[in-house]
Amino acid sequence: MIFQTDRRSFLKWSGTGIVSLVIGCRSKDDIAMMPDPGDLPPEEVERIFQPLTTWLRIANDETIEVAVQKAEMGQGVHTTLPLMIAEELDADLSRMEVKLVGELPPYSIPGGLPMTYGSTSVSSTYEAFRQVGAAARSVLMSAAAAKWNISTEQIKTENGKCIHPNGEVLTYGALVLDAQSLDIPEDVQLKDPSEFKLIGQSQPRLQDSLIVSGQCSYGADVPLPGRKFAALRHGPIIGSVPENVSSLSSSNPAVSSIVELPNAVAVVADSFWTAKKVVEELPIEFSEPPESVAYSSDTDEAELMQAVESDGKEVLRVGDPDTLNGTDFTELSASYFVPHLAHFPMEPVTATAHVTADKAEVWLPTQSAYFVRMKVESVTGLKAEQITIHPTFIGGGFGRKADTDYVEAAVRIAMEIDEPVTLIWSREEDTARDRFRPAFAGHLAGFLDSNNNLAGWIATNAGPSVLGFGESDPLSIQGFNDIPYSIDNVQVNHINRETIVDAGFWRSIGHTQNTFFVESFLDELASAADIDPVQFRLKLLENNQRVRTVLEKAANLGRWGRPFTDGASQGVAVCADYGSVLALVCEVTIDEERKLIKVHRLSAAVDCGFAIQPDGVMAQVQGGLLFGLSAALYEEITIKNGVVEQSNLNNYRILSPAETPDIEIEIVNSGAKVGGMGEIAVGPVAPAVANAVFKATANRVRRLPLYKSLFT
Amino acid sequence: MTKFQLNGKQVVVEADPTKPLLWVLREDLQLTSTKYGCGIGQCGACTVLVNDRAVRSCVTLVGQIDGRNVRTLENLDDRLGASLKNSWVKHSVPQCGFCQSGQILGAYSLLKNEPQVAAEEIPTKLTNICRCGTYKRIHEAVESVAKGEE
Repeated sequence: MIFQTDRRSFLKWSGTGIVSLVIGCRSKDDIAMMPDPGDLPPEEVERIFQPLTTWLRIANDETIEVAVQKAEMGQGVHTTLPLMIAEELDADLSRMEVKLVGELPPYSIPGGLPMTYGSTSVSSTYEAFRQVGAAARSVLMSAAAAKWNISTEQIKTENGKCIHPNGEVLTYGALVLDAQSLDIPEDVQLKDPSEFKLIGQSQPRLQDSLIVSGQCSYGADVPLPGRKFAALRHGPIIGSVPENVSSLSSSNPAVSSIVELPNAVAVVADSFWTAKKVVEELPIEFSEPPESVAYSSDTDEAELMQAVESDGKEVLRVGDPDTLNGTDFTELSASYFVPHLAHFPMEPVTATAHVTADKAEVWLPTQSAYFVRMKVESVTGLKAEQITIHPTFIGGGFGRKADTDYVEAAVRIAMEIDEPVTLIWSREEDTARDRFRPAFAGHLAGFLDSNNNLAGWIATNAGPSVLGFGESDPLSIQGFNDIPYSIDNVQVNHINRETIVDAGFWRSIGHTQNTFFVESFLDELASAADIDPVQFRLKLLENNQRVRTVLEKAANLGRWGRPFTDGASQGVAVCADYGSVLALVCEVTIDEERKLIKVHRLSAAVDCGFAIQPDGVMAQVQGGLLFGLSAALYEEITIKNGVVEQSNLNNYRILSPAETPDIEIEIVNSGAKVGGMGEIAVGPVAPAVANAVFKATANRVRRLPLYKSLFT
Repeated sequence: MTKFQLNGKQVVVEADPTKPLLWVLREDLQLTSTKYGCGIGQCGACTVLVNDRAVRSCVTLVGQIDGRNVRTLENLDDRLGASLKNSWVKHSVPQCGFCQSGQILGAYSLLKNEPQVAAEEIPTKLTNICRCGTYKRIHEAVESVAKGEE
């Protein structure tokens, strides 16, 4: 059991005469995840940290409200988490109302970080949310049994109702008052998956009716009367700080203040449009940090490519890689590179803040209300209980909204003025001051024996830590030291190399570079061994039936190896992580004359153990593939003398709608533990396409993006 | 001062005529379904209808729409609008949803002018960016309306 539902359900009255049955949870373990309570007396700690957490509220007007603590950024938790409760409760999912509460104590489930990350939202809540639904159903059934004077075993539940064997019906709402005095049974039984009616079947998304009617509220949509708007400007050079800000002024009557931030200047006005215009025109002086001026991404690239040929820190050793040599084996080696990438969420980062002497309120799209609150505490000096965080829907996160730099800026501005203020980073600031997917280099040396079997490899990568853990960052080697293939002799090394550029979490993190390195190099080895790339992989997967099956399914789905008369070619890649497996076959045509890489078709097989919301799995695969394809073909941030050279769609190209390939997806329900789906589709795209490009042109692209490498 | 029809009602705004329509809608008129994405007329998140044609409101000055008819997602309840919304829900198009207001209005404009647009032309005629990658479903949802299935 992941957490304990409270033994007593209880009743709450609201001022409107609505009576609700509340199912909540208490977990002492939550304490471990909280900041140090400092000098607070124990009863105060108890008061703040130990309220009964309301996960589910069933009212006598038949309303069912579910608290969702995970951030909704398009991955569908707003439906999938309530779905898990609805299944066990036998409720009508379409009538459930969702409250986005933010993952702050007590709204947290022990285990993992209090944030929406790592494709864990569904897998980490699967047991717990079902228990909540099952507990509620059980007390409602007891209430009905008492009323009808029959045993609970005789009662069926369906669509929010208890049903008597004689057909009589009591709605859940009608049972709320009676249920309140009952105890939740000690051991609530969860359904066997064979009994599922909703889980495993695609469900309409609860948030879609809000979205299509324009009622869905994102970061900058907070209806706060009298709020001000702010725009900011960072210096052109990374790390620069504004100077002589007190000398700045604006004659524009709509401007109410100019605020100095540690690394930027903000203008506050009645309108964002005015604030942006004014801040862009202000004659702000910025410092020119010499270490930034000395930095350019092309020299960084050259240095990374050189660094990755050295030894680095050994992070994995299998067998005896010291026996690998070029005399007894055919040695093949290659170096790869991936550039910095921007997140480019459709919603630029934004936060709305209102700060008074003893209170702070923040409205914002965030992947972690918890880290936001810590940031607000540290910036304002206020205590956690004086701070309220209102998470909104996120207009695209992709890892960018796990950071707290934008809330810090908004809060600092709010501290200088009386009114609530909405800070929006212009698209240009959002792009140029993003926390990029870091540039990474990889070097792999592989050794084939005389039978063309892979005897071993030595793999090294080099780049910065996204977690700030130096050379011990597990995300730097994600997908590099934990590959699904069995290779007898392996050495994996990592070289930590920090620069002046901020590194961020970019959807699928380590896989964005490492899956490109590994899956490209496997293809090079297959080619050197003159073995079909799918067969070559299958052989290395003899001990991994789960991944083998997925690869075989993808190969079938994509009709791997079929002859083409039009010059098209295929490529393959695999990713296994997040408790899931995905294999991808792509079909590509290269038009050398018109300099076009046409990706016609992406065929993916995916196994996340058990697809709870199959249409959501499809959506994540479709979206992840296109996110990966955009980066593979086009995306690159370059930096010259500390200045980021891209700022908006006129110079940062992303995939256009007309380039959408056919996408076919097969879901494999292997029955393994439920895995995550938000990120796994991103990493395999670049190597699959690059492998197809090699097949078509004999040109091995080892540096992304593909367009730049092939045609410039 | 600019006068125009907004979602069926006459409005008068005092805003600077050079203020983009996007910010007039969001800030002066509190209609927030229209989104700021790029500010340079390329991503399409700010798409609205002016006389039933899709325009990028971030690069349309409010002074330019004097006397014209503006519609936003908050008021797209005519037959075509309702069909598109239904189709969007039926195909579970949105992921994060941020760009979808612009996507639906872009599709409305297309179908208003080419009610039976051929399926293969839809991807090239809808140019709004979606970073979540919902294109395939957008195309299917529009195709379904064009075929009269909604």
